Amino acid sequence: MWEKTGFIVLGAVIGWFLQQYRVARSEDIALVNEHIKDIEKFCDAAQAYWLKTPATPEEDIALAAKVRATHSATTLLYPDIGKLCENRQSEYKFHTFDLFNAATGGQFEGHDRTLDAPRAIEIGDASARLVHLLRSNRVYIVSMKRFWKALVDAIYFKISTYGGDKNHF
Amino acid sequence: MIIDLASDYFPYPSGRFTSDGTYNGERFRTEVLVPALRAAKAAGGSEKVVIDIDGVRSFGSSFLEEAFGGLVRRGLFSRGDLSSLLEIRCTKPHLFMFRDLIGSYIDSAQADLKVG
Repeated sequence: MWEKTGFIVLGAVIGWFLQQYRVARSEDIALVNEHIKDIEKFCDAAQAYWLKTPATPEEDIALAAKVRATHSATTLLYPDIGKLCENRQSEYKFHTFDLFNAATGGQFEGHDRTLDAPRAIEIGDASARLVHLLRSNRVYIVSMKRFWKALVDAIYFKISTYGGDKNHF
Repeated sequence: MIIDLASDYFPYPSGRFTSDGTYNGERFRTEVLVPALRAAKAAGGSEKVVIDIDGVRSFGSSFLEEAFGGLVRRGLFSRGDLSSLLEIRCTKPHLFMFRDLIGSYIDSAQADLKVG
């Protein structure tokens, strides 16, 4: 009787933990999806900027301001998404820098800049690569492999902290 | 020496060259960065030049590359000099990307032998 109750309680506790883990990962996925939307808006604004020779300096300033504003939105999640990418963090940084350099490099905000179609293509390409990386990484975020890694890391951290505390005495 | 980029220069720096606007990367490099770094180097590198970017809302890569990458590209300082003399201070997470980018521009800049 007690044995059966014990199994039921244990199962319920494990189920609760897994559910909590799943909820937390769903929030991570929502964050990645929001980041992808921000990147797409940035890409659109940057392509609009480079696919037009501004008629007046004011028009150039307005287009550049939109690029800067949409880029600011992408930087808000930069540290969080970097952590979520874990072992692909360097790839994430590489593609993020690539997109930023394509969108705001060269003669960006330059007084004599003109329409630059190759740069607009480069922006689309860099954006597509970054979005693809984020989409393919969503599978890893919810994976059990990541769950076990997080569990092992947490246990290791507890043990190493416990060892550290012991040294103080 | 601490240089607060937003208050000592401008909160919205933009453009690469002097012809692109008042608060461009070339001007920041020649009028602010180079004198401060030369002074720090003359003092034996005992004090770093700290660039605080916390007050700036955003940058363009044209500004950052010209200001920081230009230090190496134009043969003004070596990467080794900059790693010991220059520090980018940033406490706001949304600006971490720009801190990382400045490092990447310095690391990837190739000294232009025709200049300097």
